[in-house]
Amino acid sequence: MKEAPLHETLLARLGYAVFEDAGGGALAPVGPPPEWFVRAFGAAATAVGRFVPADASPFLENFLAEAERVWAGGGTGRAESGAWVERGADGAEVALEAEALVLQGRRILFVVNQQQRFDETSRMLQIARVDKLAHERLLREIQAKEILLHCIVHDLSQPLTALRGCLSLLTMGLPPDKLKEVVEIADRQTHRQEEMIRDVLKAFSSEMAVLQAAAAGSGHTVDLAQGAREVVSEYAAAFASQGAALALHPRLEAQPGTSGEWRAAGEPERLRRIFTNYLENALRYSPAGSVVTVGVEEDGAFLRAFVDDQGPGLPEGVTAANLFRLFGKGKGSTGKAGLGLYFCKITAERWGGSVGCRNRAEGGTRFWFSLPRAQGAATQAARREDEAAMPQSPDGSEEALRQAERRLRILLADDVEINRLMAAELLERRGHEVVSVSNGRAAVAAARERPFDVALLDVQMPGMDGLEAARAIRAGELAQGRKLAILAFTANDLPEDREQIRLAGMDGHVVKPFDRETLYRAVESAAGSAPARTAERSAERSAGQSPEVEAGASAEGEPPPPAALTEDSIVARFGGDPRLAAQLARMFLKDSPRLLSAVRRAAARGAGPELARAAHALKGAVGHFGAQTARQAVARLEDMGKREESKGMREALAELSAAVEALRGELSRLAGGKRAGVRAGAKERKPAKAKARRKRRAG
Amino acid sequence: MLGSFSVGKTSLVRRYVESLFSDKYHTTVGVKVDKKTIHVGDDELMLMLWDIYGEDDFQKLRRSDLNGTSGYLLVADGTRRATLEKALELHERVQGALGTTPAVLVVNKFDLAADWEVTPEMEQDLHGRGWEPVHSSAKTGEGVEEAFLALARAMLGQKS
Repeated sequence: MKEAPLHETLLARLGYAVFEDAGGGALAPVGPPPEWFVRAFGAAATAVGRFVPADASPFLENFLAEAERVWAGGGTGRAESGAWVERGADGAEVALEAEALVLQGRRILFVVNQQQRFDETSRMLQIARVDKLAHERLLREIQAKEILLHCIVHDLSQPLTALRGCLSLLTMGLPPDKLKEVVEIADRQTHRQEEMIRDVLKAFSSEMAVLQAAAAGSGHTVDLAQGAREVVSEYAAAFASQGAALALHPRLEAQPGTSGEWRAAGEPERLRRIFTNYLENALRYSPAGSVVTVGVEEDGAFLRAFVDDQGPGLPEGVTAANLFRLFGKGKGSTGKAGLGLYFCKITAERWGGSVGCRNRAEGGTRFWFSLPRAQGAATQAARREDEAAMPQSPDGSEEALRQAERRLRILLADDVEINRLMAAELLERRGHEVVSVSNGRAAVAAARERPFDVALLDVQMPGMDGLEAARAIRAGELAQGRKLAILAFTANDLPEDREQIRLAGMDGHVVKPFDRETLYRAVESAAGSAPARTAERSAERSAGQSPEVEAGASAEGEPPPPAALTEDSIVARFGGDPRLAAQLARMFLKDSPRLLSAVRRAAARGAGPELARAAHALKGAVGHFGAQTARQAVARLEDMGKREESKGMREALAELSAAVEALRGELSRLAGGKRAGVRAGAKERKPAKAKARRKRRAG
Repeated sequence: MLGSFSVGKTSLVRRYVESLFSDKYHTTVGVKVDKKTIHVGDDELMLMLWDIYGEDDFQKLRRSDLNGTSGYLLVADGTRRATLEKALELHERVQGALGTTPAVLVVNKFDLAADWEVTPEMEQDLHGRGWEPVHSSAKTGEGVEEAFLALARAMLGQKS
């Protein structure tokens, strides 16, 4: 056997596989292939006198085109492939690089084993990138803390602004009654600051958790009109000291006291921050003799609060997007850190609202923020609109169901917004008065504050659940000497569930999903105001039948599942009332991504109580529309969560996503073709093909 | 597979081809090619999936790695807004180099949706610019098949 020339053996030993162009996409080996080359490319590497990249490696095949361009050019041109990884038949990976060039008129391509260098590079890059990721995380944390710090400093400086205004007024020789008022305002501000310092020290470590809770929706509401009145009262002196005036909008002036109509999602202290950020901004740019007006107006399902100034207006090129972004400043950057308006934006958005600003036609600037109306206010407003436009029901059934014999005061607690809205809407249409809260603690507080005829408490709520809330209410009643009718609101109707309800001191239960007659019967029966058709049942109760069975709507109260989910079948579930169905459909479209996402996130963390809770919440929501496939899938997930069993979770999640999307498709049409709450740009899909929200672009 | 580093390109391919996922981050150096045969309607398609190293200050995309590209997934990490900007920048460069080529934008790590920096407003903006991003999670598998299928359809010139 002829021995290979020394240089060829040397190249192989050094890890080089050298080839010469053989034409037609083939290469001719120059010398024996190195061992690693044979391992990487198997049979293709051992063919005598011929190596075809297309048979061995897509990467090399691709590089051959590059090589041919260099070869065609002749001269000193070279093509380098960069590193790539091949996996041999044995599964081992090897990092390679190839190069093509023309040498002494011969078209050469060589491949070199770069595993060692590759490993070193990988190690270096891995360290650098992990460090970079850690650095990015740290920057995000610092940013969050900067916002927190700003909020604290901002809060602490608020009373000082008001105090300074008061001190200025004191130098102006005010009449005694005015003097007293100014001193009282100043005194209140010092106490407020003292309280805040105490609160800051106490709550510093938990502030971020509070912010996060706000992001998740705390269920708190605020009275915007009251908030506006308070800040106007506090800041009037500061404006006066600058020769400007701060006034309440005439409409609010004309409505003294508070009104449920002005309640919106939010939390008082942060609402104050938004108002004061806007006011400080207005104060900075208000010339002497100008008036700044604070007001609130209705904006469909939202309430819009605004601060109008008569300053120079926004300079050309300054947009709301610029001003409200993080560290964004405007108007010559005379502001502070550039966090104030950003805080307003993230706070309003966390409450489901928005912010903005614009120049006013009459001069000056309007800064505004919109917040979703609180549920009671929203449903009242919606009802007014509906009643104005509602046609008479042909069979009179709507009229028959509209009014109860007695107007009941009902306390409703459910952490799932759509459940609250649906029950509140139905009960208010019936003529009852409903106070809605989103957790057990708020329910207990509400029950202590004012009398109710009936309480409907969701059994599963985060924090204090309905059972615990019922026990707390019952404990409080011992001192008050009165007894509230309490019904459990539950999606579970097993004997053990009923027993738990009974032991918590509740008088019965309503099974979700429910229809309106079932709800009316249960509530009115529990309050002792049942209409004639339930009187017989009441008589039976007197004769000894257990109240749990009496008040509780059994599974038969639930409308039968439709053969197929259609717009008609959904409307039928709401007593044939398309307006109500459309309203609840919009609510579901808005709420369901969050509920589904909560299930997915919980599932991603594994089967456990969190998954059970998230699935339970979604189960109640889909159940209202008779979406059996979705309900079954989510019930399976709830069960998996309870049993901490993950088998089949992925399939159930996929089935749930598809079923929810199918339901959303039907509800979108029902809601008037709008996809409220869908992440921007989502496209509607046919139910059969629907998966999760998916978007793509074919560019 | 194009995108910034640590957005999950390798994990998406691994999930798609081998149904596997690892939480541990392994940076990709160079290019790794995988194959998968799929059916799109009546068409059988052999996908040659080029998992290309993530671009950053240390590694820049090579023009030669784009040769022969029929389409690409642009991958961003929903928890890092900058990776979305990088993906769009890459898209401009690739379209400049290759001309109009099918592309699907994938925003990965949907299992961490609660921590996303990519906001609905940003997606609204993307939509206005003609993008329809796919949300995916290589960890849970969610959206992975859909992303590759969407690209396959785009390459075949089909509507989804």
